[in-house]
Amino acid sequence: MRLARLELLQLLRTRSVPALLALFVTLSVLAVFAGNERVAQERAVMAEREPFLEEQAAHLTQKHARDLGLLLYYFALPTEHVPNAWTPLATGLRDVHPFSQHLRLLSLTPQTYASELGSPLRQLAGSFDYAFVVTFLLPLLVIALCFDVASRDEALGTALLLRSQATPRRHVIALRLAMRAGLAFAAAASSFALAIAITRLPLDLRALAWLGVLALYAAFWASLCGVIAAFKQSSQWSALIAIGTWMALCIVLPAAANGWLDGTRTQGGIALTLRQREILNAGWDKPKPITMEPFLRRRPEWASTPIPEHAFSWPWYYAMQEVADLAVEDELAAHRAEAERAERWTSRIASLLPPLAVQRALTRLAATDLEARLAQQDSVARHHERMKEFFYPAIYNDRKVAEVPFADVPRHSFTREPGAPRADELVGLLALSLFSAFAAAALARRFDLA
Amino acid sequence: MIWTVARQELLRAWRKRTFRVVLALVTLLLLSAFTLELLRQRGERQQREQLQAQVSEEWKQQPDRHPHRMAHYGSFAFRPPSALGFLDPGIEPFTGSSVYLEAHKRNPPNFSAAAESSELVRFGRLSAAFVLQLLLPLLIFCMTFDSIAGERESGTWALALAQGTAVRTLVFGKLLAALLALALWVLPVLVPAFLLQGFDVRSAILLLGYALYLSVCACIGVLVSALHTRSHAALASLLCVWVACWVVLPRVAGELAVRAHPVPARSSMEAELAHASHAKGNGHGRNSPEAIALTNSTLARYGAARVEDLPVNMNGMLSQLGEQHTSALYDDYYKRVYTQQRAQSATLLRWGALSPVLLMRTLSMAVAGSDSDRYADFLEQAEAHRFGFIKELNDVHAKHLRYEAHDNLQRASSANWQGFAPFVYRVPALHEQPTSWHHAFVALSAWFALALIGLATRREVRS
Repeated sequence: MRLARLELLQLLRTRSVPALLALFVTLSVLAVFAGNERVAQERAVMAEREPFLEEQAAHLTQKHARDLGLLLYYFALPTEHVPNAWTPLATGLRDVHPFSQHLRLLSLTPQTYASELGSPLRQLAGSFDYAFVVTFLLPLLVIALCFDVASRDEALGTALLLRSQATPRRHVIALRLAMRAGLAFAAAASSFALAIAITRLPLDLRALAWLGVLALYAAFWASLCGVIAAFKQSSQWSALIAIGTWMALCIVLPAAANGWLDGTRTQGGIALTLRQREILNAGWDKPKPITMEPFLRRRPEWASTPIPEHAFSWPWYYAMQEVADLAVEDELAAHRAEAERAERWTSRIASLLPPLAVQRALTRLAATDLEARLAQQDSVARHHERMKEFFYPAIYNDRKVAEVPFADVPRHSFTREPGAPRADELVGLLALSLFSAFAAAALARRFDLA
Repeated sequence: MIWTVARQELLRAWRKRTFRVVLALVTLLLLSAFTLELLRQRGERQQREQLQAQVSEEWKQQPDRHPHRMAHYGSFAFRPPSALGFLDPGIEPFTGSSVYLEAHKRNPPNFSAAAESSELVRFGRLSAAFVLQLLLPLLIFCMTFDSIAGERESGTWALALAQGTAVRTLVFGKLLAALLALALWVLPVLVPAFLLQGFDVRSAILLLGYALYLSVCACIGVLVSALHTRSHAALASLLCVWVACWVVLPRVAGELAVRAHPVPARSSMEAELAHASHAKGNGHGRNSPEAIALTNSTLARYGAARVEDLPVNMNGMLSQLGEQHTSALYDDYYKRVYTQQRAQSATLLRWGALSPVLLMRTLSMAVAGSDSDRYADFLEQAEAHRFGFIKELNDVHAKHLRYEAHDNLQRASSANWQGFAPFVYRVPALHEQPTSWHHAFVALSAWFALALIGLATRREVRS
């Protein structure tokens, strides 16, 4: 106990330690504020929807008062991907995909892959968010505190003094390591507490689970430092190896994995949009019953709508739009399977790469991961269907514009509850932590050998 | 004398096992980054050329049609990967690879590598630029941290000074050693890679730029080492510098740049566009004041009383008028986006005063042709192509179709558009590019000059 007190005193008296802890907490708080601000801006964009819809309805119903088909050609409904409470903490893929887009009644396929011009420079640099601070900087904090747990005695000249004590040296070092890792975790936990206060995150089991992930992550890096220390080399050597390991796990291996996944992907998306366009366009030259056939198989309720063979008609036009989507259903599914494959592989890689597992745990909570993106895509597709159900009766029964209640157009909103971190990915983190802890413990005997 | 010091220093570094291991690892990394990116770039180029050819083939096979149908059938522009993109892919993974070109609309570019990826995309991609910009400085710091502090620690520094060697000679000898090590190691890797792609002005500037950048890093390493009397303290300082300026600062600067110059979201733009077209009319509007004015002036020009009597089809001319309106609205949005993106990159360049990696990134991307200016150039060329063929189709409409209130059942011969030129992206020459990279080059040179002055004015501290 006395030893513990002395060690703690020594630790806190080292000038750089409080400075490092304060720097870490400050950076996390700044990152949380940055995330909060981004989410607020996105909410502001999404809040433009109602005034837009009102203005649009007023304008279009007046301008195309006698042509419902033409009116609906222009009609757009902004979709929204509403952030959840955790979203400010992890931007994830949110700046890669549009969080709001103007959905039209036309063919869905080209609209599915619409993208933003955005700020690619920031995408290249990576976002400065809480997820970055935790994934990249928490390990550095642990390393900065722990890399010289053993070698500092040699550097300070206290090694002989320590060896003459009754307590085995490995116990002293284990105590020191635990204390330092605990301090790093305390910094991480308090910056999370501040994040909770800033973003008003609900205090539920998820917050507790996240604290668990933080503890595990800190423990992982601390036990790695233990293994490195057990080689009984100089402080410089330990620092270099530790930073090298950090670079490998946080930077090089994920980047290599990204390149590999990128390289193995077949680019089915472009091909399917090319084909969808061919089909949509060929419809203009086909006899109308051929175009209507797949449409009516899907929606037999409109079989009685008359379609003039030698003139343009809106019921035929919108059927043609839908038929083009139906024709590429298989390709769409294949492209989707491709994305799911990327997701599966990322998950597998995450169970071997702790930084990726931690990042994914947080993006799952924030619903800014690929799964959330795919769910958002599905939700937009479902909404497109709802729009059709809302407008088709008017189109196929040849209703007047005034008969369509534009104010009641179904609104789209997608939110995803924070998802609990995935156990299988964290099992990897746990296993790796335990493995390095055991390795450190096994190697620790060497400290008490002459 | 300087050469003796440098040789000694090189030998000292080489004798360390960790140094040799790290050196081997980073070389391996650089080589594999080169190979993988080269393969990826070739594959992408081939695939996009093939798609571009397919699109143009399909265009030619279209039957006789109403020209406005062809305008909605449209075309695609595929962004060819930049020639030096294998060295520095820059923002390419984050930008769309294809744009669908059709009447009335500027569709967003689609299918970026990032949009198809999982969260892994947030960790970057292993390219040569990634290794050279981010990892090599760390390696240089690991090589130089004890160059002076280590000798002080072991007492050999005082010994050398006592023998009458000038501080400056020693310091520059150390720097020379670091530079030689870099040259011996980087050149054999970089030069063949360049030769593979053809050595030109761009690759020469890149080589020079990277040499300058890595020299700056070597100077920083030696300078920090000279400021310390203990090598572990020098190492700690250099690691802190690397984490702060190479890892944290670029992200913070990126965040601040976007905060200061936000790019408007596409959905806001579409809302604005709808608002503007509600006010001014869109591609299909026939009753706007401009449309009426054009009709009247055309009637006057041909001395006709009714549009039916005109030798040209008024519908085609009005279509073109509408096209001009909408494309002006889109141009305005795109200009705003480019302005903001340029302002962001200027902000990052200013942060380069604290972090040379930001300068090098700007320089490298601009010269390799993978920065946002190049991307904007692609989007503008695609738009020019779109506007061009839509205009030609509207001309066909005006000249070859008979006027009726609804002439959409008529067809024009496909011979009218079979000769349209396909989209070919013209790569701008280096001197036609925006000059942001000049600033980056000058700023890097200033870093180098300052670092040299810093080294030259080192006096020995009395301890």
